Amino acid sequence: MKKKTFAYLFFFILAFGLLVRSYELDLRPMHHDEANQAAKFGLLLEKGEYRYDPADHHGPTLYYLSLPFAWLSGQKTYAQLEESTLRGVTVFFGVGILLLLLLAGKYLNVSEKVWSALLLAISPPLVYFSRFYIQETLFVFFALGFIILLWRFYVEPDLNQAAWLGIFSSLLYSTKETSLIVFAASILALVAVWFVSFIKNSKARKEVQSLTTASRHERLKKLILLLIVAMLIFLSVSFIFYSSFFLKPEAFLDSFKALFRYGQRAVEAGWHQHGFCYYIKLLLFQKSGPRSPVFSEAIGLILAAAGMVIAFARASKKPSENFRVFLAVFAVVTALIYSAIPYKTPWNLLLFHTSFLILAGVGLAHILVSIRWSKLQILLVTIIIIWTGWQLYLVNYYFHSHPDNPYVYAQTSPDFLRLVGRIDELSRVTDEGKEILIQVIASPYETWPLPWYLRKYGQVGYWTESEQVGALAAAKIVVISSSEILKRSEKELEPYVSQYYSLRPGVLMVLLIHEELWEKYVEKRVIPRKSS
Amino acid sequence: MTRPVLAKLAGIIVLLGFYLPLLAGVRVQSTNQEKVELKIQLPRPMFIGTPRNIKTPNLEQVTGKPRGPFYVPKGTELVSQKKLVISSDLQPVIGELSYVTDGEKSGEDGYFVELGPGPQWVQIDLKASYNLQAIVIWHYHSQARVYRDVVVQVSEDKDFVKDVVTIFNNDHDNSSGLGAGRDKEYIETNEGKLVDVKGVKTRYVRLWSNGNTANDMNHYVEVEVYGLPVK
Repeated sequence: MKKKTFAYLFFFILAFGLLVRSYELDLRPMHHDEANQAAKFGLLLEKGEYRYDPADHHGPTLYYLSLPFAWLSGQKTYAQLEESTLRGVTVFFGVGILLLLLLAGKYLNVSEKVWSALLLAISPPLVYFSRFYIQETLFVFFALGFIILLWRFYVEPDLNQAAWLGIFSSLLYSTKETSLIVFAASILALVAVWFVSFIKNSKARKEVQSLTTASRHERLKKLILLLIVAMLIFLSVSFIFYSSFFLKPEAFLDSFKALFRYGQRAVEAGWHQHGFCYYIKLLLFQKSGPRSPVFSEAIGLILAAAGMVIAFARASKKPSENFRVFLAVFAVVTALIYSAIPYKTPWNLLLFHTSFLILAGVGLAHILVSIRWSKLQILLVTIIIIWTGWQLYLVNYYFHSHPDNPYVYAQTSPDFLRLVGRIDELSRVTDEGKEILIQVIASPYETWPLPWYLRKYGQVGYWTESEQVGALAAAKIVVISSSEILKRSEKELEPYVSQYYSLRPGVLMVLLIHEELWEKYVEKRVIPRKSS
Repeated sequence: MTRPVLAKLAGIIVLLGFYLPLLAGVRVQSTNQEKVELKIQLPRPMFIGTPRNIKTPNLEQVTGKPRGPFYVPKGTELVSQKKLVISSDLQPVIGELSYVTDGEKSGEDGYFVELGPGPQWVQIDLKASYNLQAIVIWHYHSQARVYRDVVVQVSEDKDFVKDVVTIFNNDHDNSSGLGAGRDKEYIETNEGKLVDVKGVKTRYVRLWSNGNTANDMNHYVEVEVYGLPVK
């Protein structure tokens, strides 16, 4: 493939990847987790406040890296923020994952890069979580950058590679403390590559044996020095992020302590506990009912398996040519680690699935070369694109919030937006407008993403239990969970019109509207008063 | 005037001289000072991790209280079983209209009929006029959900053009176009929703709904109509 053709193709894939990721970013209602992250970012944007929380929400890069997006959009407060701005951050890094393939340089050939980029660009789960304001896409971006840079450092260790390695590893750690899995898996993959090359290459063995003690010493000294540089950069940058730019230095140490907490949570997974085969089942085949479509990433996985076979079958004597083996071992090890951890959520599959898809690109490139008949080549590529495109549509645009979608997890129901819309309509008929008092009485698990949707309202109070609230009479609008409403007396609820809305499947919220306000609303909307 | 009296007067004058300007000052201050709204800090939402992903049907009793006994005149009987059902949706998406009166109330798949999105109705022809006492409706009870704009109408006219009596209506904002009702919304349970018909004489029963909190479709597992034969 000519350089120019490659450039055009790669640019086209990149543009397409951006298009499918950024199309109608507010289509899916905000998820509980997204709203939590948005509120934390809102504090940073508005007040410059960020405090690392070792109990939850992972590292700080998501918030700090969201700042330029908000500034560029002219949004200066939490209330001004838009979903498209927040999700634009993850879209940016989602497209960045494709660009990182260029960083692999000579370690992947041009056709491997093109097919890998295409499969990554249209991958349904990758696109889905690129439109999801949580750390995962940034995590995958920094993890992929890290493993490519680690490989480059392994092959040609120099100061430049060491510095970049330090930067990417620190950004990876500052995104999620659990990046230790990536560090461990990548080192294991390097050892595997070294082992494969060492076994294959008797010449290399002899070379190693022939090295004098002095030159071995010299090499080791240089390597240690470079690793110290990388480590210093890692520590410095991580410290800057975790300490909120030197404001809270102890938070850096807290991030290490948090690892124990995350370790504990990984084992005592509670309601997020799933079996070993959870991820592979999600990816391979999902069909929830007779009317539900098939969701499957089987094509990508089959091609990835082919890519792995090719990587090992064509493993070179030269370690520098075994990037594919490195990637294959990394993908399998991370998939096994994540599958072994009882705590599972669909977005955790993103890391190893990205590696699988790059290997799928390798597999496809080699399969196409081995097929001599061009019509069959075109047919194969067409089938892959049509199937993946169909899946992309189902996962991201049609079943974006539907429980049948394998990547939908504790997702806010679209019905919840009706509740938000009703509150908006009610506020328009009052004199207080957005300053109307709203009482929210629900456990924290039943509260989010309401704070995001009520961010423009000035008088919203959140109580986690009904007992904390005296009389309801003060508020004309009350949002209460279906379990908390049982604690209120019928007499107290009498002056309210109650309407039910779904927060998530099986979780209902009740909107209580004071009769006085409802009358006003009915009057302004000219609703006939009597039933026919 | 004696000295002590003078001293007392002088004391009062001094005190008045001291306090009056202060009192006046207070009054002046209270009238001149601009009032500002007292801003009360309301409790903020608590941050918390990913909630539970509920995918399987939730059969939990969400109302908390079982329905109490409902009394009807002696001789009241179930008059809807196996009676003809028609609908605004001529081709149900799932199941058959006969499910509405077949006596099966299970919440599992295969026991409900699904009608298309938007306002839809089912109509039961009781084949004769009865003094109706109660209608019990089961839309779908394998998940905590609420059906919107539930309207129950009865009539002697099969086309529901004349003599239509609305006995239940929780379409608060008239989104179904039948007029706004004031009845409460309710969560579906295996108990079904009992509507008191209060002895209205009728032959046809029409039940409306307009989607639900889980999706835009309309469902019926069963409808039971209880009445007394007209003498």
